[in-house]
Amino acid sequence: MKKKKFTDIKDVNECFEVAERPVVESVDQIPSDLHPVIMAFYKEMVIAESANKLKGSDQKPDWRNPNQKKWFGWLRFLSSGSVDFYVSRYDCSFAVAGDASRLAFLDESDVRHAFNIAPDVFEDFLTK
Amino acid sequence: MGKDNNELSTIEVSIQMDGVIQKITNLVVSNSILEKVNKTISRIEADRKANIEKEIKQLYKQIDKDYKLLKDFNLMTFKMKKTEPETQSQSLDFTLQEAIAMYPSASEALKSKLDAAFGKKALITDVLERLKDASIEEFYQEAGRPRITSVSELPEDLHEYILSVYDGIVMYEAVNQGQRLSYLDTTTRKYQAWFNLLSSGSVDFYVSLCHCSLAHAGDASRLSAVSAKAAETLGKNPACQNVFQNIMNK
Repeated sequence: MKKKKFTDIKDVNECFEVAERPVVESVDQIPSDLHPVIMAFYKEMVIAESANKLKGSDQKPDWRNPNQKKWFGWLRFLSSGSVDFYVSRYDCSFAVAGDASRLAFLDESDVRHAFNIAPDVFEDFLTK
Repeated sequence: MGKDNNELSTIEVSIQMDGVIQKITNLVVSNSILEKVNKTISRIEADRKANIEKEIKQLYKQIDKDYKLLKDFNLMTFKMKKTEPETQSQSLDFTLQEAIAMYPSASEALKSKLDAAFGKKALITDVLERLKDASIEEFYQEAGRPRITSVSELPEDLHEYILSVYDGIVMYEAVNQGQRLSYLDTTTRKYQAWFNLLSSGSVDFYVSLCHCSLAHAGDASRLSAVSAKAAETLGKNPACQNVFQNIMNK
């Protein structure tokens, strides 16, 4: 049987199944105006987790390991008010304040696919 | 025939402070005390500079003495309820915002009173200066957000990570002073702190950088600052570094 790849995944729901994470609608303890951004963090994390799990890693990427490449997507803003995938790049020894090992991809090719299956999640993450 | 000195009367004790008459208490007293009370009140009225609190305390001492005397002779048929006069304390009737506004031009004497009332740190006008070495609790107070300790709907292993993200959002809200950045507005600069990742596993502030029309996937408008100085304030604050480290590692 062909081993499943992240690029075979069609939508976010499948990411939740692969990562074995529950679908959560809200986090009531957090002020309600922040629910969308916190949910976007959670979904983006589950997407990265499913990608890395299909690469054979059950561990989240480790910022303390400078030899491990942590891939992130860079997005550009279109005049239409939406976002588009621009490029993927990795960090080893520097990190921006919003970086999280839980949002990093271990493989460059998975980064663009993540954006392709869930552009709304990435947009919510940036804008909500 | 003279008055019966043990005959009881009820009197109302009031004082006048700054033109306002304030009732202190009702007292049931004997005529001998009533006479003393009247004298005392006359004295207070005659001399407005008198120390009112001292006078009232003296009055109570006299009443105490009389009370014991009457009790000794089994003449007491009532219970005398005493109420200590309220201390007339001075107060600074300013809100924190008013105090912050007047602080720079206040006299040294007023500054020291404002410092004592609100705390010196709270009166620093520049929010970034105030938060330079603030605790996370102080960032929450500045942003007016509730501190939470649990996100029970999410898987338990993610609680620490999500709570750190919430801490981070609140920290940026505090330095941004309510200004909400839009990533879709490509003309606005969004500043963030960048860190050196040290071999010890900790982080060290490196530089503040801004984006206009591009965004890194780890960016979020909620985790962006309105100025390089605001991002640097967070990047250099040890408590914030700890939060960023948790976001990266937890």
